[in-house]
Amino acid sequence: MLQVWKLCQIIFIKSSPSGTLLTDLQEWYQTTNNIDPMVQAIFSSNSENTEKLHLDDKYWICILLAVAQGRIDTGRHLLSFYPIDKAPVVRTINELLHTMPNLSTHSHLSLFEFKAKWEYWQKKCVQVLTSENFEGDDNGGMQTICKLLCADESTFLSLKLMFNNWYYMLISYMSYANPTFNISDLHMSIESGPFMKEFENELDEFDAIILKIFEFDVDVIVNECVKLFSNNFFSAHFLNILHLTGKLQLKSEIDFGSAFREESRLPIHEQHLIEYSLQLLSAAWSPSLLSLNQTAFDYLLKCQMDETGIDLIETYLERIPLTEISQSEANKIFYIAFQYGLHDLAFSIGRVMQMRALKGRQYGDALTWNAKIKDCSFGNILADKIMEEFFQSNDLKLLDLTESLVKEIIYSDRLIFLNKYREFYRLAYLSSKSERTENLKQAIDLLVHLLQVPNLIPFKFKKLVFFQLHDLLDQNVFNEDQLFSVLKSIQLYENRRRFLAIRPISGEVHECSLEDENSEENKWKSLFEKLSSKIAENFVQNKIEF
Amino acid sequence: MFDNLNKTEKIYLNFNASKVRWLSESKITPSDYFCLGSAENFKSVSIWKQNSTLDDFEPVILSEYQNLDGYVTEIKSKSLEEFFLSTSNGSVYHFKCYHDEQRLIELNKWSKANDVVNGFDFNNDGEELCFVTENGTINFIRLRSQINNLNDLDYNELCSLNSVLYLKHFEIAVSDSLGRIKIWDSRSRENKKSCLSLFMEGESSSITCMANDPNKKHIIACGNLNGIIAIYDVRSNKRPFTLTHNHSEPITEIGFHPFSGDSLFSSSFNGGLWSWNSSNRGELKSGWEDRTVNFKNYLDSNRYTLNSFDLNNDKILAVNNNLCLYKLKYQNLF
Repeated sequence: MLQVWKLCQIIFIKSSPSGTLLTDLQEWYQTTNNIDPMVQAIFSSNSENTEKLHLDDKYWICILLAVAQGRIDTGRHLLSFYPIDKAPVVRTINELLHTMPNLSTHSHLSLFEFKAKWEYWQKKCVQVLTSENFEGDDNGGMQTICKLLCADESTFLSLKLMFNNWYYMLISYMSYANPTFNISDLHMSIESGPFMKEFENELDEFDAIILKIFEFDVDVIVNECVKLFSNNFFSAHFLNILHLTGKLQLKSEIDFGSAFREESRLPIHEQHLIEYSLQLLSAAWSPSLLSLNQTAFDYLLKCQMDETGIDLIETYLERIPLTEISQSEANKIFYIAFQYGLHDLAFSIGRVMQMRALKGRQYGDALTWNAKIKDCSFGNILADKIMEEFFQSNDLKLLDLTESLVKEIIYSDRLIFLNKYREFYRLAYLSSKSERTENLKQAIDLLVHLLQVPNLIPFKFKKLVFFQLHDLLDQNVFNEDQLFSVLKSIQLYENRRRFLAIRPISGEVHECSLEDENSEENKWKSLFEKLSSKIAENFVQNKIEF
Repeated sequence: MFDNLNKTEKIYLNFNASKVRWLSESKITPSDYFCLGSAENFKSVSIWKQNSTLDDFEPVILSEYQNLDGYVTEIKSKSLEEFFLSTSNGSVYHFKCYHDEQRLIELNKWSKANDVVNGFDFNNDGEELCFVTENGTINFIRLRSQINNLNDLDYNELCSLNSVLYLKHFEIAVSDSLGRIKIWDSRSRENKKSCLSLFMEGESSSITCMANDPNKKHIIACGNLNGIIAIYDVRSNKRPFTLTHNHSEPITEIGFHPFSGDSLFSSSFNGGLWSWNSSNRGELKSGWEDRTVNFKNYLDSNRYTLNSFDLNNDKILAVNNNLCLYKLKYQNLF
C-alpha cells in the first residue's frame, strides 16, 4: 500500500504540469525496489576475497539494477571491482557513467539546455557501443550497460525478468531515453510502447491501479483500491488529502444536471470516510461493541456536511442493545452519548437502564440512573415502590438508599418524601439511648411538618404514617399544637377518603394496608382515643381557656 | 518535587486491553512481567515480558489463555507467578504462570451465575478473597481450604457494587454505584449492617475505582463517574478531601505512588494520566488537606479513553481504548 501511496503523492500532489518527474520517480523506484540488501549480501559473502567479487552471481544484476534505477555511484563502485586488465572497456564505461548529465547537478540549466547536453552524451554512448572493443566481457555485461545507457529498447525488453514489473521498466527506459519527461510523455509511451505488451499475461489489479494513476483517473483508482486493500483506509485518506489541497473537483460542481437526481448528496471524499468508519465499527476481526469506536467516531466527525457524521454516530449508538450489557458498559455508552451532545439519546439510555434495574428489583441501580437523568415521573414510581417494599419488609437498607442522594433528588417530590421519612425513621427509632428524647422530639416535629405539607405524603401511605404516630403517642413528647395539627390532617385524610370512595381516581385509591381489617379498625379506634386523651391531658395541665 | 518523565513509549496491540497489571509481590518489588486482560468480547488474558535492559520498549508475549468466560474486569497479582482475575460472567480465576516454560495454567475457578464480578481483593495472608458483583452481593472465598469454598455475606445491597479493598485483616471497604463506601467486618456472615458508611453530600455518582495508601491503611482514595477523586480517612466520618479537574470525565483507575502516600495517579476517560502531588513541607503528619496539591498530565498526546494503568517501582504501564500500550518511567519522588 505504501508503494501506491507514494506514487500517488508524486503524481498528484508534487507534480506540476510541465515539471519533470525523473528524480521523484527514480526515488520511488529506488525505495520500493531496494537493492541495498543484495549489495550488502555480495559484499559480506565476498569480504575476504575481493578479487572474486565480480564472479558473484548477483554481481551483474546488481550493477544493471543500479544503473537502471539511476544509482550511478553504486554502479560505479561495484564496477570498480571488475579487474581492469581483463577488459579495458571498463574504463570507458566508467568514464561514460561519470560524465552522465544529472538533473540535480545541472538544475541551473533550462530544460532545453539539459536536453542538448543529454543528447550529446548519449551520442558518445552510442559511439562507444559501436566502436569499442568489448572483449574480455564475460557475459556481455558491459555491453548491456552500454546499451542501457543508449536507451536501446530491445535491451530493456530483454531484461524483463530483472525488472519484474512494467512500470519499473518504463521508468528506467524513460530516464534514459528522455530524461525530461513529464506526465503526458509517460502517457504516450505507455500507450505506444511495447512495455505493457511484454507483461500482458501477468498483469494483475495492482498493475491496473498503477496504470490508472499514470492516467490520472481518480475515480477508478479509488474504487480499485477499495477492492484491492479490502477496506477504505487508503481511499479515505487519499481523497481527504486531495480535498484538502483543493485538487479534488467535486462532482456537483461539474454536472448541474445531476443535482435533481436522487443521488447521494455527499461529496465523494466524505462518502469514503463514512465507509471506512463503518468498517472500523463493524470490524470482523474484533467482535466487540466498543473497541475502536473512538477512532471511528473521529472519522465520522470529519464529515462536516449536513452533520451526517453526528447522525451516524447517534444511529450507531442507538442500536447497541442495552438489555444484556453490564452497568459499566452502559455507563460508558451513556457517557459517550453525553460527550457528543446527543442528550436525547442519553436520556433514553437512562430510561431503559432504570427500568431494567427496577424489573430486577435493584432499586439502588434504578435510583442511580434516575438521579443521572432526573426523570421525575419514574422517580415518583420508584419512590412508591420502595416505600411499599419497606412497609412490607421493614428492611432498613431500602430507606438508606437515598442517604447519599439528598441534594440531587429535588426533582421528584416523592423521593424527597422518602428521604425525609428516612430521616424521621432514624431519629425516631434508631437513635442511641442518650439522645433518645431529643431525637424523638425532632422526629415528631418533622413528621408533623410532613403531614402539614399538602400532598407530600402519597395517599396510600398516609394511613401507615398515622399508625406510626399512634405508636409514638405514648411517649409523651407531643405538644398541643402538634396534636391539633395531627387531628386536622386526619380530618383531611378522612375527607379525601370519602371523596375517593365516591369518585375514584386510579392510582390513588389503593391504599397500603398493614394487616387485616379488624386490626386496622382497632388501630383507628385506639388512635382517636389516644389523641383525645392527650389533648385532654394538655388542657388540664396548661389550663387552657377558651 | 516531581520530575520529568524520561520517555513515554508505546506499542500497538491487536486487541483492546481492559486491565494491565504488573506481576510482582508488591508494588515496590521491580518486575519485568505483566499481564493484560482483554476488553469487551475478547475473553483472553496474556502474560508479557519486557526486557528492561533494552532502551526501547518491546515486550514479548509469553503465554496466553483464551478460554475465559467473559471479558476481564479486574486482575490482581499475588506474586511473580500467580494472579487472580475476575470476569464479566461472574467468575474468579486463579492462574499460575511458568515464565521459563511460557505456560499459563488455570488453577482454580469460582463462579456465580448470571452476575458480573466488578472487583475483588484478597487479604494479606492470602487466605481469603472477597469479590463484589453487580447484583449487589459480597462474596468470600477461602483460598486455602481443599473444597472450593464460596459463601456470601447474607446481605444484598440493592445497587451494583463496584470495588472492594481489604483495609485490615478482617475489614473490607466496598464502594457502590450510589457513591457510598461501606466498611464491613468480614468475620461474621450474618452481618446486616455495615460498620460504617461514608459518602459525600451532594455527590452521588457511582464510584468506579478505589485504592489504598501504601503506608497508611486507613486512607482510601476513590474516583467516581463525575471525575471527582475523594480521599477518605476511614477512621472518621468527616467530609473527604476532594480533588477534581475542571471537566467531568469519569475516572477509570486510581492508584497511589508505590512508595509514598503523598502522590496519587488517576486515569480518566479523556485519556490523561494525572499525577497529583501534595507538596512536602517537611511535616510528616499532615494529611492532604493541609498541603497544596500540584497535578500534571503525563499522557498529553493520548485522546482515547485510558482503560487502566498500573505502577511498579518506577514504571507505569497504561492501556487505552485504541489498542495502545504505553510505558512511562518516572524518577523517584524522594
